[in-house]
Amino acid sequence: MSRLKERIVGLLLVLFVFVFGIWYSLCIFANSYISQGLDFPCSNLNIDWQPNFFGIPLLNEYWTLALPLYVLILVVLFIIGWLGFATFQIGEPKISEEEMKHLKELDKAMRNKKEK
Amino acid sequence: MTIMLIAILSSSTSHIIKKGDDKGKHGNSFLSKLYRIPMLIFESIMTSFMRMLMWFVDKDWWFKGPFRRIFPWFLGTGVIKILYAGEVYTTEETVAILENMLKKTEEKGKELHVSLTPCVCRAATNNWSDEMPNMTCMHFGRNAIGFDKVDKYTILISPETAIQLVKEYAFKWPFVHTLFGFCPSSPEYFNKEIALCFCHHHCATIRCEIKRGKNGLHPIKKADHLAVISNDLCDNCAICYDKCPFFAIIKLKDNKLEVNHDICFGCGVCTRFCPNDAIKLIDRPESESHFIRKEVLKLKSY
Repeated sequence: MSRLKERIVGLLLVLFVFVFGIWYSLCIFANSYISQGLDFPCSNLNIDWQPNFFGIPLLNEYWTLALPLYVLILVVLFIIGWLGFATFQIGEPKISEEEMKHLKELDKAMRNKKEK
Repeated sequence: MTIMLIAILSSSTSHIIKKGDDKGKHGNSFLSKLYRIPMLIFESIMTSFMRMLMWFVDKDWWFKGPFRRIFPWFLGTGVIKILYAGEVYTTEETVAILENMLKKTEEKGKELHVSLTPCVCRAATNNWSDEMPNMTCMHFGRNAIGFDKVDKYTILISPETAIQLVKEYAFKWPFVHTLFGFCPSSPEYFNKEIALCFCHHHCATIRCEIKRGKNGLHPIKKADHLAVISNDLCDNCAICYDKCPFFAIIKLKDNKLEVNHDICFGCGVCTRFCPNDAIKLIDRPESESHFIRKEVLKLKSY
């Protein structure tokens, strides 16, 4: 498979974006007031799961801190995802043999000329 | 995950070092193998950035819509000019700069490393040319060796070959010589890394310049010259009209040709291809300061 290393790096970046993005979104959602809205008193849907994000307390200041940070991180993730996708689908350069041969011959001639 | 990534990158690039005759000289030590990892990441980021830039350049709304005063300005003047300085020079000026760079490096008893890579812009769009050469990006300085380690298509050439290629390509294809210096805010670093691109319509910088309008992305500085057509010598063959990469030459009603000085970059492509020597370069009245030439002239070491 051509460009194997680019494919691997691209795939890893895209995977990272998905895993990180989904987990972070889940943490934000589970700690937000939105999830409290789902807290029905007479049902089994009570959600008291409030994970921290790698030990960082998220939600003391939800609207002023966590949410803007979340949007910022989403933008960064979007750029990384784009980067990964672009890296994944990059093609093989079309460098003709004649061009390479010409360049190498020219280089050899110039080096020989300099040595003399 | 980081360890896995490093392991994959190291193993996947290990075959590259054995390929060329001139590659063994620089890179079989452990440190040089490690150096490939940041270079590979840098190369991926650069290619992806170019792809992103190309995507925006191809969208008309970017240049015509309500965003044209905000994002292109922010990218063009706020971000790009911090990252690099791109400047257009004529063939003679480019050769003079490279010769100067070589001379100063040799005076210091050091070697000027030059690498030749496939065009980054064409790589970003998979738009390879069948007629023109595709190995058209040169890097001068330490990173030349870094690129050589990462990309299997990159070759190391001597500085004399680089100068010869500039002269050779100039009269075969309508390339614009664009020199890039990275991190212009730090002259100490800036001196050490310089790239030379042979740009054409397919290149990001030229496409930005063609489409930019008054407030758009302006990633490269114009040369110090302006092209002027002499009506006495011109036979209206329109070769310059076809060759001008910036579409700065316009046809008048009576088939006569004229240079639009608002668009003209002074790159000298038209003068190189005019069969009658009817086009001359004059000094630009309000020239932009050229950072690279200034920095190369007071170059300390490579």
